[in-house]
Amino acid sequence: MKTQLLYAATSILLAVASQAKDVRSPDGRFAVRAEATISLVDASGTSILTLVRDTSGDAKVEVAWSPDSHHVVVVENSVRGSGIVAAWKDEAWHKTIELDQDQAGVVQAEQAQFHGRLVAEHRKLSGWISPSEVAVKGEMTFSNGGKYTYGYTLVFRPGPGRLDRGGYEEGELIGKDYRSL
Amino acid sequence: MRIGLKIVIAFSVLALPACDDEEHADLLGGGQGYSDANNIVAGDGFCGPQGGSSAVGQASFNSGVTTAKLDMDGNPLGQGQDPDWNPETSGQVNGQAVNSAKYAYVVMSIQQMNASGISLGDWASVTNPATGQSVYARVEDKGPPGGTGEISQAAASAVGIQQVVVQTKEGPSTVPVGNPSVVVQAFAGTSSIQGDCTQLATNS
Repeated sequence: MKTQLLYAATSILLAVASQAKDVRSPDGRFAVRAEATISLVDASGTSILTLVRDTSGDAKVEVAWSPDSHHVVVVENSVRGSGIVAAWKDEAWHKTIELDQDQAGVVQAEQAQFHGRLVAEHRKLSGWISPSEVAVKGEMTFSNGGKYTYGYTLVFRPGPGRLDRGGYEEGELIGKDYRSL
Repeated sequence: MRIGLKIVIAFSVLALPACDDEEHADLLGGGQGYSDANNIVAGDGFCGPQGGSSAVGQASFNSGVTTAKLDMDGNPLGQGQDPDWNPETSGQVNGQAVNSAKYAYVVMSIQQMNASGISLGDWASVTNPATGQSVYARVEDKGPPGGTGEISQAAASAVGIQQVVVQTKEGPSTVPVGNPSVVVQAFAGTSSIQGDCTQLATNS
């Protein structure tokens, strides 16, 4: 497993902004390149996919490659929310996205529990369970100050996904086994 | 299994398109902050996109009719009037947080933005279906998953949504009066379209 955290700060020097940071796959054949966009590149640095078009406003970006180098997950965290995109490889690379609806049940249940609305949420990866399953931990903050810490498993399910406007194959990255921590 | 952990500063924000409108904000007399956190000037700040609705094209995100929620972030005077208040917004204007009281902006989740090709600074619109009032806004804050209808104070005011400070167990909280609904739309790839203060409302 290879995990790296990329921290971004809006106040850092402009000179730093132009620097690319590559997070290489375990087999060394690919890398995730973090700049103003986050791209999947091959060993020569040629872009294969744009995973995130615009990282403006992100406070932290986490990248994790699966041990077999066939899956990679990117977690974006802003001040008040997070999002997860990923890529997987068969004959070619595909990009997919975890939909907010995955967490809708948890959000609704906990909003009722806390008597407040969800105002902030953050997630981080906590290790690969298998080459196509990765553990996620998260924390939700509600308007009354209540916090809920939870975990779940993010599973790659390649299939005929729906292509959204961002170019992601939806329905191929699914959260399951949500639990309180 | 070895975990390689490395922390690096990798990227930053160079210049946000929202800065394009600062000159217009000056023309409107909207300086930083107000003496009263609830003294909101509707439509102040971003105005509307140059070229109007034809310039922004079809919406790539549509919230549907959803309950309006107020985001007071970026309004220096919002502290103490909202337990969720945050001094920062994801977007910036001239290196500063986007003032909720001054700028009409909307909040989207990171997934909503990625899936619909939206970037910070892209144009958006907020419509109050009860009154038919609409205002142009920009996407300037990233919020939690699944959130819809979260808008700045200026956007709320522009579509006729009144705000009131209520006392809660957590302290004062600024909320919309009643249970108003809004429709939020956002337009991908429009951040570079400059603001035009003759285009304040989408239906004007």
